[in-house]
Amino acid sequence: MMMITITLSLAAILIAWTGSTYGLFTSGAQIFYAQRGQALQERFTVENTFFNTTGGLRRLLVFVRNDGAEEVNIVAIYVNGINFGTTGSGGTCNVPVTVPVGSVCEFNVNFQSLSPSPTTGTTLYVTVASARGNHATYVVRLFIPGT
Amino acid sequence: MIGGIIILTLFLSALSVMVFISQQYDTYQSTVETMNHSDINAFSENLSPIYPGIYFSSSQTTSLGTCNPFCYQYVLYFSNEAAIGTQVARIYINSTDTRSYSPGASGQGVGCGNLCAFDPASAPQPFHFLASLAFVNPSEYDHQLIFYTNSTYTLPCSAACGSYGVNSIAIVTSRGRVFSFQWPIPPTGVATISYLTTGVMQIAYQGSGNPGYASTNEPAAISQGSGGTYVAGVYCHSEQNATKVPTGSSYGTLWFVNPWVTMAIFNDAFPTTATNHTALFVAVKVTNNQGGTLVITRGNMWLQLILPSQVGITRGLARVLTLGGPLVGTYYNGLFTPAGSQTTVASTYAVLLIYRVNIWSWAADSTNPPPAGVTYSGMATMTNDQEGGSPAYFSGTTVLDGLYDKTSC
Repeated sequence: MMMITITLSLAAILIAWTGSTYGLFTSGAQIFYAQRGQALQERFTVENTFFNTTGGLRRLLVFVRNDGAEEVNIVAIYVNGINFGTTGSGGTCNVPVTVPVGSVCEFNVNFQSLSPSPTTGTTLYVTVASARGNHATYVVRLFIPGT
Repeated sequence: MIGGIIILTLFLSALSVMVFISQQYDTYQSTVETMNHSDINAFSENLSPIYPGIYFSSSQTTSLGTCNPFCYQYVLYFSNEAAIGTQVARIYINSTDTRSYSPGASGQGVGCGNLCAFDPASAPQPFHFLASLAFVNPSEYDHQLIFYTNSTYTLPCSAACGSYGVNSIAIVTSRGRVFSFQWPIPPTGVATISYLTTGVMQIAYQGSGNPGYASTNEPAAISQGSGGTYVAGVYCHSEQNATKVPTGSSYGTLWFVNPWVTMAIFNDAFPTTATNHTALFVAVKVTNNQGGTLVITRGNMWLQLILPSQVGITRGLARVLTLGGPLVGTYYNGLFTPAGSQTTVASTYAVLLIYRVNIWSWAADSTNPPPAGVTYSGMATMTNDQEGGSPAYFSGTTVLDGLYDKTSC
């Protein structure tokens, strides 16, 4: 009788442990796949850039379009590996910003602090990163009129 | 018994977990497939500009919608070369040539030197395009998308600028693709491609193989254009239209073959007695440097070749072969204007004058004999053509190309 009781108790513990483990596993898998699915549906592209180098300005307009099925939260814009803030001046968006599906955001990236100071011919590698871990890249060569 | 129940319970639990995770995985895979399909659709998109790329005339102004006092209206011409429909989401125009340019309406244009972005709109608005025209059907040729600048922005310029590609046009689709081209559309070809084209004029290049010029270097016969075939080892260029020139703004195509064929024209023109048996077209690029506008209405061109009177005789009485003909028209501002209609060329801009040389004669010339030791072939080349008697008045490079039109082929 005692053996049966012990066996049943161990079985109950085992089943409870297994259940909780399975539960954690399934919920984790559910969250994982849901997040991966959302990240997968996230599509955004840098569709154009434009330099504003009038006078001493060293700014780059970056046009980012959300052409995916999920809204995109843009959290950072890197130029040559450095995370630059956007001034908003001349642009329509500042990071972080949520870009609805089908919309386009215009970021005004002030890259004046790049060292060495960028000159005509400098290649800028622009990376736009989202909160879900996706990124879009764009390469553009700097041209400063008159130089 | 109890052990069996426990194991069965664990097994069923694991099974249910596997089923659940499989469902999640299936959902994820479905998303993967959907996005892959979306990517394939996006990669399938293919828009390409067609001549004239962008069209504008001074009459294309509108005061509809929020255009106040008016908007300049442009038409963007492109084709969908994919088997999938495409929605245009935005157009960017960056004018690399920011010279002021007035197309004829009031106001001076300033160009899109600071990048213009055009979004869809249901009615005419400055810096918008008509949303009703945004969708391009699969394989649609010659889609025309109307867009508007405001009353001060006009795009510089056209071939008349003297250089190509002064505007960079980017068409963004709703799937995130970007298709860009330059306007005015630069000539394409040279090198490995058998011809270059500016739209209304196309210059075919001779192949290096034997036989030389291949009919495949010209496309099939096109409206008011040309096609060519090989007959008995001779390349024959043929014209569809009896007038052999484009008319009005019909965007007919003139085909210019390279100087090797031009040489054959001279050679061929010499022995023949049939008027208009061969036709030669000469395109002369003239830049207006006089400081004001230049109005062109009509003109003529005469080419002379001084030939020995006999084979082997290089001095003495020369024989002069004269080829000539009228100005067919001008190629300016992206348009062909037939002779008789005025073409107004803005200062510092270039125009292509197109002459047709279809009249010939030959006579003895005792006053201009060829110098000793020089024999002349039928090839003619001219450079730095000056017109009007003043070198400062015009400057340009004369390009001599021929359109081989031998009706006897």
